Amino acid sequence: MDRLLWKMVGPPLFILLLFAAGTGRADAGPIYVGLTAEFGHVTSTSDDAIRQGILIAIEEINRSGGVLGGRKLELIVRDNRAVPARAAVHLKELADTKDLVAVFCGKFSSAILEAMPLIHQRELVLLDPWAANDKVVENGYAPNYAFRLSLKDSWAVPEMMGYARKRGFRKVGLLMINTSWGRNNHDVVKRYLAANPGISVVDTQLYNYGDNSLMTQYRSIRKAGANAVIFVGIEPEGAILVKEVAALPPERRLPIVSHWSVAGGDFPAMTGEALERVDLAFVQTFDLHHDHRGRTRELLAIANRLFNMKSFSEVKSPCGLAHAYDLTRILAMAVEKAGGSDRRKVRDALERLDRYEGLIRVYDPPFTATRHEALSPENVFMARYDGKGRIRAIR
Amino acid sequence: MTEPIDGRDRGRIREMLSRGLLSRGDIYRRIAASMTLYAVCVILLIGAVSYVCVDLLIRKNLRLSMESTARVQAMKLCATLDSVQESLSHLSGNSLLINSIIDTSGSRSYIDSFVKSYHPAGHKSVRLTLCDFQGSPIASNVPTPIRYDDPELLRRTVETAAPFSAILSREGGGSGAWFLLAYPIVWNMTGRAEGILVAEVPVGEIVDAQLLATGRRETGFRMMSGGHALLSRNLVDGPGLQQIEMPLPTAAPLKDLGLSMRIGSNRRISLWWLIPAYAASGAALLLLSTLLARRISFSLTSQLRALGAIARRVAESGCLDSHAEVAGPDDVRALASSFNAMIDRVRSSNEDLERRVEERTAKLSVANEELLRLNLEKEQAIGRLQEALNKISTLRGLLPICASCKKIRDDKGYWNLIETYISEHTEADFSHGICPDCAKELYGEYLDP
Repeated sequence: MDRLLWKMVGPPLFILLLFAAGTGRADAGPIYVGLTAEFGHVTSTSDDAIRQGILIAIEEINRSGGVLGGRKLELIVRDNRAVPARAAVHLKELADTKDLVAVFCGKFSSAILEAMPLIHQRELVLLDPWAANDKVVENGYAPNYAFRLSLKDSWAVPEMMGYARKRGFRKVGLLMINTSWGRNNHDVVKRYLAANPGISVVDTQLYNYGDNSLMTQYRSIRKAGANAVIFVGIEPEGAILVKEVAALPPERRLPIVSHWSVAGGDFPAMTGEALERVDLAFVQTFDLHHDHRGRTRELLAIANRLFNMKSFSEVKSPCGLAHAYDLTRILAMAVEKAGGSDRRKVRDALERLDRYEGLIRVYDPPFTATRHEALSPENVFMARYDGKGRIRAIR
Repeated sequence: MTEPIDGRDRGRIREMLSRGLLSRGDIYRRIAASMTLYAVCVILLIGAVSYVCVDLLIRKNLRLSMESTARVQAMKLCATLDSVQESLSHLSGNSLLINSIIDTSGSRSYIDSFVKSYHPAGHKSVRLTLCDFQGSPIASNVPTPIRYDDPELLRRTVETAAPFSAILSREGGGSGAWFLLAYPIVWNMTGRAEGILVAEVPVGEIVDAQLLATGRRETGFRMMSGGHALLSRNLVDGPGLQQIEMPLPTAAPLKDLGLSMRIGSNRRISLWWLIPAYAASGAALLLLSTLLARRISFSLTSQLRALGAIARRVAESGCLDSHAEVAGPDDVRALASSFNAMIDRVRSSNEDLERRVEERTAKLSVANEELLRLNLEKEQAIGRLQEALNKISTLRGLLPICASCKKIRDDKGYWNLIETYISEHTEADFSHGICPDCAKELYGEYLDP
């Protein structure tokens, strides 16, 4: 009797349980990813590039079934305008968001550094697709919740100094933003000089965000006998420097070797014809015009669908897009590996991922317990704007 | 016990004084007294008018002086406050501040020392705090900075990027009142306020420094906001004390507080010094005018006195031979001429009167003799009349008469016939006859019917 009853009721009940289990995961709601960046900046394009990179990756992931058995990824965007206090507010809000697995930051290291205690207190996985200050990842926390897939100053400085030395500039002047980022670069320069006596720094000048002119500092560097200027800053002050140098007679124009954040905005548009009169080279990690195993065409197709993007020349900060894209894909892998949205488990999973063939490189693996940097110095190169305003690697 | 003097008494006293001064004594003294009294009135009137005029003049001058002082004070105070505001506004645009807000973690090495070394317009007591957009302090020149999270402050500075001002009540600062000035720190990259520069400005110290600089500590001072006193320095309210109120046209954001100042003199205007000075000069003037009045009146009445002496001599001696000297002012000369004419006329009248008296005296003697004669006759007639009267008087009184026989009892008790009695007591005599009725009664049958 019991067996007969079981034969009659069992199969439909089993099917019902399977259906319930299947729909239960799908109905569990999306997995959230946060992004707090400098969207309120007038000239910044890095924030948009990061957002686009994340959204392209999410689109790919969601179209292929999402994560955790069908849950969609969703992006929550907040504009911190590069202000640490505002970023802290956003991080608190995002930390309280159910099923939020990680938060992306923007271009400004300073906006995130202030929140490091909060990030680790709330066990918030921080994914850094741009901010280059070494201390973002080398923050002293264990376990460390910060992961970076980007350039860092310890790699940018040797690249810039090496490029200057190759160009024969034996005496350089440092022109740096008066922030922890600028000072971190200065520290790296000092370390570089100790190991590379072939080049020297004849003058170091600082400037502040919002300064209307950098001519005083530039004159001081030139007067000190520098052959080139090592510039650490973002696009507004970079544009001021380029325009002011371009206004000088050719013999007084020093070559400028810049950190990569001049490409955090539409620099050619900001500088106009002045850019052609100044010898400017800057650090990059990704050349969007190079076909990375055919992946760029795939991304452009998605970008076209999502943002009506016809060409990658419309992307003003390609590194941000590429870094955010790869980092989102890596995060999705970690969520799958963690088997849920528990951020502690996601953090642990990020350190234990397998090989991943990304847009920029093959990550084998992306992170480890002792390495929270997904890129390496080999990914860093110098670039310059061509006549059409496109970023081209200096080969 | 002294009784109060009522109006009637005062009138009486006035009358007595007036009579005493003006109605007695020589005319020149009376003229002098009148002139002196007039001088007293004039001096009192001038004194009263002078007192009022001086009082008004002093008050007007004091007011003008205070207005001028208040204008200068207001101008200097506004300049001081505006310089503080300008300094803070300028500081809020300093790129180091926006740098510190963006680079909170990295700026601690320099921003604290920068803020501590910055003294807006040289005022070291201004409390400066650099805050983020939520009002949380980033750097400050006070050891334990506070949060400036007042919703209105944040709305004005962060949301509208406009400066903000308010009044704070804190300890210290010279008065307990502080201006709170908050300036947005706008980053040109975002075009919005990313932080706030908050300054607490001690009202008392700024005002005291200003008052000390202008050397006006002896005058009272009060600063107000919207009619409410923020601080007072030596200003005393009370009747008779002049005060000048003046707006303080400061620039924004202090302009929103509707600041004004009031200065006032704490000294009451006293003109008591004028009274002894005026009394001394008035007494001297009165003495001078009295002497002058006596002198003038004496001079004016000398001819009158000569005329009076002649008149007195004429009165005492009756001699009308004297004549007054015709000299002096016109009216006195006219009086002397009239006097002489009067003497002549009196003398002529006297002579005429004597002549007429003699004539009348003669006529009176005749009339007197006739009168004496008539008087004698009259006395004789009177004697006769008296005698007759005495007789008549004997028939006066109650006569006892017999009701039957009609005899009358005399004083001796004898009964007399009525005819006898009347004949003895009067001068009447009787003639006897019979009346018709008696005749009819007695002799009716004999008579014809």
